[in-house]
Amino acid sequence: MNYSSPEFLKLLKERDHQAVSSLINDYHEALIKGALKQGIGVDQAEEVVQATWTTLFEKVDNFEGRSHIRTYLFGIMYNKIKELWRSNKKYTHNFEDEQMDQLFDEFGGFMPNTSPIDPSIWTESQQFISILEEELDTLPPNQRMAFVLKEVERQPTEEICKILDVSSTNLGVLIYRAKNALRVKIEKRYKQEGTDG
Amino acid sequence: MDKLIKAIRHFLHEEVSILAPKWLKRRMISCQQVTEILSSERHVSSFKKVQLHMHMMICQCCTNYKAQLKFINQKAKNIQPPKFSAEQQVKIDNSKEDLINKFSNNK
Repeated sequence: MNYSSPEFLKLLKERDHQAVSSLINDYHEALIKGALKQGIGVDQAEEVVQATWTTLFEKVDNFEGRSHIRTYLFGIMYNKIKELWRSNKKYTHNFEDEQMDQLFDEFGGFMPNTSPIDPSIWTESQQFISILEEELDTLPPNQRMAFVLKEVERQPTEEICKILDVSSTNLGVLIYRAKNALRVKIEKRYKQEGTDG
Repeated sequence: MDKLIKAIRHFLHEEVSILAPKWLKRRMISCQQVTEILSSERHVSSFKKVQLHMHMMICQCCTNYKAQLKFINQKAKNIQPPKFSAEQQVKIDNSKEDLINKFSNNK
């Protein structure tokens, strides 16, 4: 079924059984997997996706089809996840601008104690992906989402901007902060493991 | 050879940090700017690309930064959501049916 066609949109707004059935069958599991990649459990992911469908069908009459319905659907879902995180106070540490500035001196050069290390030690580690997933959990929601959509799901920049409702410049800032935070935290973990022995 | 290159980069970067006057340092592309460009993968002018390339030739910190990013990006592709158990799959399939019945008008 062509989800971009005006005919499909018309059928969806009329709650045609085949149109609704096709959409839900095609996207329900993808939505759950997308939610799981953001680090929430299966039960919560299902609740979020149920809420996503409810919101879609509440708002579909106003949906004009300027973006693909997939983008619209995933945009709703990621907003639901952000609401969930805000209510659970999900993230514990915010890598703020002040911390970013502490990495660099007045001329923008790395400070001696913050210089990035050679990552060859990371390549030897079999636990790197687990460490990466754990540190992803500590990122602020927008940064985590931007990183997962860009680097885990490999979505095109334009699509991510529509889903997160940000400009490409803002997305660049989110990705920059996310990657910087991740590499600093991962470095600390490996330094700590080296100290602990 | 690799160690020698790293040592030369370190030496050159230190010399530039010490010897270059402040007005020149302010005009040169900084590590902070380099990290921003590398992370965000935004488009930059040809002039900026040349500056970036020259900075990378003498800065071991930014070279390490780039290698770290490359490694994180490569490993991130391997992050997978947990697989559904048989029970979870049944629950999901039932949810789909319930949703279809809830939101469609006719059969």
